[in-house]
Parts: sequence; C-alpha cells; structure tokens
Amino acid sequence: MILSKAEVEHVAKLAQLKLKDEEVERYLKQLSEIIDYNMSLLGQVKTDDVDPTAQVTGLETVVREDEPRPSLSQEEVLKNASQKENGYFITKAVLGE
Amino acid sequence: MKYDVIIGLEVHVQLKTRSKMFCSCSAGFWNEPPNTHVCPVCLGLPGALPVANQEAVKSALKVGFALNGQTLRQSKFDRKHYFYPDLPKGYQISQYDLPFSVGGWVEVDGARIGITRAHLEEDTGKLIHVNGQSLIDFNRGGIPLMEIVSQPDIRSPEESRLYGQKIQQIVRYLGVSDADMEKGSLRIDANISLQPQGKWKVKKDRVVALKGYTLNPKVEVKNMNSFRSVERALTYEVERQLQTLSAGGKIDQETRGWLENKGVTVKQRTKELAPDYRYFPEPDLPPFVFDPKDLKKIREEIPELPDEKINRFVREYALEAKKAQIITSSKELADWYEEAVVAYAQTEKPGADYEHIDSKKAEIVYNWVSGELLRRLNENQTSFSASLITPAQLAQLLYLIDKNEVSSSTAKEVFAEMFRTGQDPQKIVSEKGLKQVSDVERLRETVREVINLNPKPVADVASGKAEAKGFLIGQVMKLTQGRANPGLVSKILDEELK
Ligand SMILES: [Zn+2]
Repeated sequence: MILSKAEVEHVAKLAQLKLKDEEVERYLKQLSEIIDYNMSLLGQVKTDDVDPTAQVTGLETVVREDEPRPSLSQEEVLKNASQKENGYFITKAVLGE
Repeated sequence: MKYDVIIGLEVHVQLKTRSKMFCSCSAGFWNEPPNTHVCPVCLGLPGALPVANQEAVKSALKVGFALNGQTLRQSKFDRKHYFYPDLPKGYQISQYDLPFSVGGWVEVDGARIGITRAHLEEDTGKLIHVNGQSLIDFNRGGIPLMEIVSQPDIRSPEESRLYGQKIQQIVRYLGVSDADMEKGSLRIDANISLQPQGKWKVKKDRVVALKGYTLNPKVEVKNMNSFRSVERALTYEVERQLQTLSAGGKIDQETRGWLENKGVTVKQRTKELAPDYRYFPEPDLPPFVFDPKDLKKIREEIPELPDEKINRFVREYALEAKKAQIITSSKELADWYEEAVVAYAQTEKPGADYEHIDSKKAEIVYNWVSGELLRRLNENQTSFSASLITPAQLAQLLYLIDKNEVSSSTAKEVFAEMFRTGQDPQKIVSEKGLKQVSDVERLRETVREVINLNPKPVADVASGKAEAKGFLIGQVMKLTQGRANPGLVSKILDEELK
C-alpha cells in the first residue's frame, strides 16, 4: 500500500469529510491504486532535463487594466444557493472567529 | 528570571484599486448591499478565469520598495487551500515561495524592524454569525490584499503599535491604501512569546533556542481593531504569559482573541483545520517576469517617504526632529506645511529658492500649523483635505503680521475667520476693521489715558520694575482690542514716562 491509514485520515480531515472505519479502509485501497498507477505512468517519461513547471502555455505577466465592469445581479448570484436570506448566502455556523 | 518579549506582526492592507484583484467587479464595496459586487470569478464558479489587476501588482511592488525589500526577477501566485465558508473556491489565491517582495526593514523610533516578506493575495468574504448560522457576503472576496510579515524583531506592545502605525503611514504616503483599522482596510495579527534572556536568537526569520533550552510556545493574538487595542491586547498578553511562567506554568500554543470591552484575551476556538495548506502554483495565472526598466519606472513613482521628509525638514528648515515628525505624520499635512513655508518665504523674496528657507519662517509656520490649524481641524472633526484655508492664505496672514498690519493676537482672530470661511486675510482685516493701530497720535492718546488710570504701576516703572511696563502695555492692548502695534506702544510709553 503506497499510502498509510493516517494519510487517508489526514486528507479526509482537510476536506472536512467524516469517514467511517470501513470507508477509510476502502479509500486507502482505492487511493493507493490510483496513485500507484499514475506514478508508474510518470516513471515511464524521461524528465531528467525538464524543469518543473505549472505552466504549459508559455505566457507570462498577463495583466488587465484596473477598470470596473458590472457584476452579476444579487438574484443571479444567489440563484443556486440552497439557503439564502436578505441577500446573504446561509451556511451552518462554522466554529471559530 | 528575566524574559525578553518577542513579537512578530502580520499586517494586512487592502489596496485601493478600482476593481478587484482577479476580476473586474468594483472594489468599492463599503456599505453596499451584500453579494452585489460578485461575479463568476470571485465566486469561484467552474470555468471562470482570473486575470491579475495591473494596478494592484504595481502597488504591491511599490510597497515592497518602500519597505526596502527586494523584487525577485520572477514571481507567481499560488493556491492556498483550506475549507472555510468565506472562501468560495476552497482555496485562496496567494503567494508562497516567490512573493512580490522579499526582505526589507522599517525604522520605528530609532529601532530597525526587519520585514520577512510582502506578498499579494485576495481578501476573503465576510461572515456574520447569528443563531448557529453564518451569513456570507462575498463583496469583500477578491479585494487585493497585501500581507506584510515582520521579523520577530519587535520587543514591546508599544513598539508593536508604532510599527503598525509606520506601515499605515507608508502605505498612505504611497497612496495605495486607506489603511483604516476601523474599516478593516488595515488588520493586524500578532505572534508573541516570552523567552528567558540570553537563551534564544533569531535565525532565518525564526526564533530558535540556544543549546540545552526549549522555547516557550508562541501565542497568536487576533481581533485587535485599533492601534490602541494592539497595544492593550499585547500588554495584557505579556502580563498573562509572565504570570503563568513565573508561577511555573506552561504556555499553550494557541490562538487568542482580544475582547475589547473586557480588556482580556481568550482562547479562540480555531477553524479546526490541520495546518496544511497544500500550496501549489496557480495554473490559471501565468508567472510574472519583471523587466528592470519597468521596475525602475515604478520605483521612480514613489514619493518622498516620511523618514526622508523628516531628515530633509531637519536639514533644510532646521526644524527639530520631534516637530518634523509631527508635521510629516501625513503626506497631506507635510505638503500643506511646506507649501505655506515656501509661500511665506516668497512674500519677502519673490521666487525664493525653497532650499534656502529662513529657518525662523519655517518655525513660525510650524507653530501656526501645529497649533491653530490642527487644533481647529480636531475641534471641528474636519479632515485635512476638507479644510477651507489654503497655505498661501496663511502665508499672507504671516506677512501682514510682519508688516505690522495686524498684531499677532488679532491674527489668531483673523485665522479663525479664514478657517471658517476660506476668505483672504486682507479682506477679513479690512471688513472687520482689525487693522493694527500704528497711528502714533492715536496711540499716544490711549497711552496717556492708561498712564492716568494707573498711578501705581507708573510709579513702579519709575523705580525700575520692568514687569510694571508690561502691565501698562497690556492695558493699552486691551483698550485697543489687541490692535495696537506693541513695539510702537512700548516706544510711546517710554517717551511719555520720561
Ligand atoms: Zn468578481
């Protein structure tokens, strides 16, 4: 197994998912297989002379003028919200602050 | 045991652009109805493409320069991941390893406080917690926000406040932010710990323990909404940690919130997140490569900053450092002062070179600006830019005093009228009949009257009591409602008492 149980639990916590024990076992197996497979593919590519990058377009320093344009209407903004009130999105209170 | 107080500050400054950081929504969201300044980009809807705001990038570079930081040749944005409802995308676009500015320092009351970095990111939405629910307004989400991180170089709560105020002053001089703590356009979080003296040092931006010693954990303090509360919260925190340590207790590494009305910090329930932001380069925003020529141009747009201005005022105007500091507290005030000084110098020598200003004149203008003008602005709660009186008008008034057209006490009255109406001093003086009485015969009559009414002081003058003469001059001034030329009164008095 390429991942540990603790790593799966950590990732679940970051994603704010509560997993049952059997789910942790199941995802441990599935995630490990996915990563293992991808790593084996990557291993076949020669990357010795390739710099790491997050960009493939070759573009650089793309900026726009500081010019305001109309936003969406409040109605449009809230259209897909499952809960809304007085123009606000509503969510279950998250602890903190 | 003696402890050192070790404080590092994170200052967040909203940049004053017209549109948001990565989309064209208007950045003027203050007091607007919720969720009316949002679009697919700042809502993080699928398929939306962020594009960086040129002005915000430029402002960020300026802030970096002003903090004596270094611009890297290449810079980029990164995604900082965490789940919280104020963040619609599940990540914040920020900068990780290649921020717009690295290193630097500011001087605070003679001490040099190091800057670790200054980077650009997007602000988050605003949450309002009510009855177990959170209301979300994304108008603020995506406003350009700079984070300026200090080194752990700050040694007291007072120095923390001064450092924050210095950052505020600098970004205001640059004109890139309102930096108003009450409105949240400048926000300060602090990291504070107490370590025994001689048991620690700063290495690579961090506090590290010397051999054989374990550091006391640091506490993060949040929720300080004014410079005053920064100083109060940290004073409380120093005392709390000191008492805990002195009693043999342990400090917990935690986040504490300042409760302004109770005057205490309390442990905050945190977002229950693992501190794992999984930064990676923002693939939607190509990296920045800066042309040295462009950087030079931006650097040239930086105005004279407070420290340089103070030095120049001390050098050119022979102003005391303390006074130079007061008069440069804001750029508007410093510019107003300087314009008045030059205008005043030119009443005597038209076309006077402002590098050779009579220091006496600079001092007189300082007294009027710091005294009369600032006092009246405070009393009327008027902002500097809304004041009606112009620097040239103050110069004219001072010229009238020099020419003995008004006495200095009347001048204050004239100033009050100028402040209220914005009228020229000459006009006020002639319309209100405030012109100084320099007519010798008219004054002589008044002097004789005073002599007749005050036999005892007159006798005292004869027996050599100088203060009695002052009293008689005062009586003449009183009878003329302060409009007599005091020098002339003194001279006539001498003649009459001979
Ligand atoms: Zn937007």
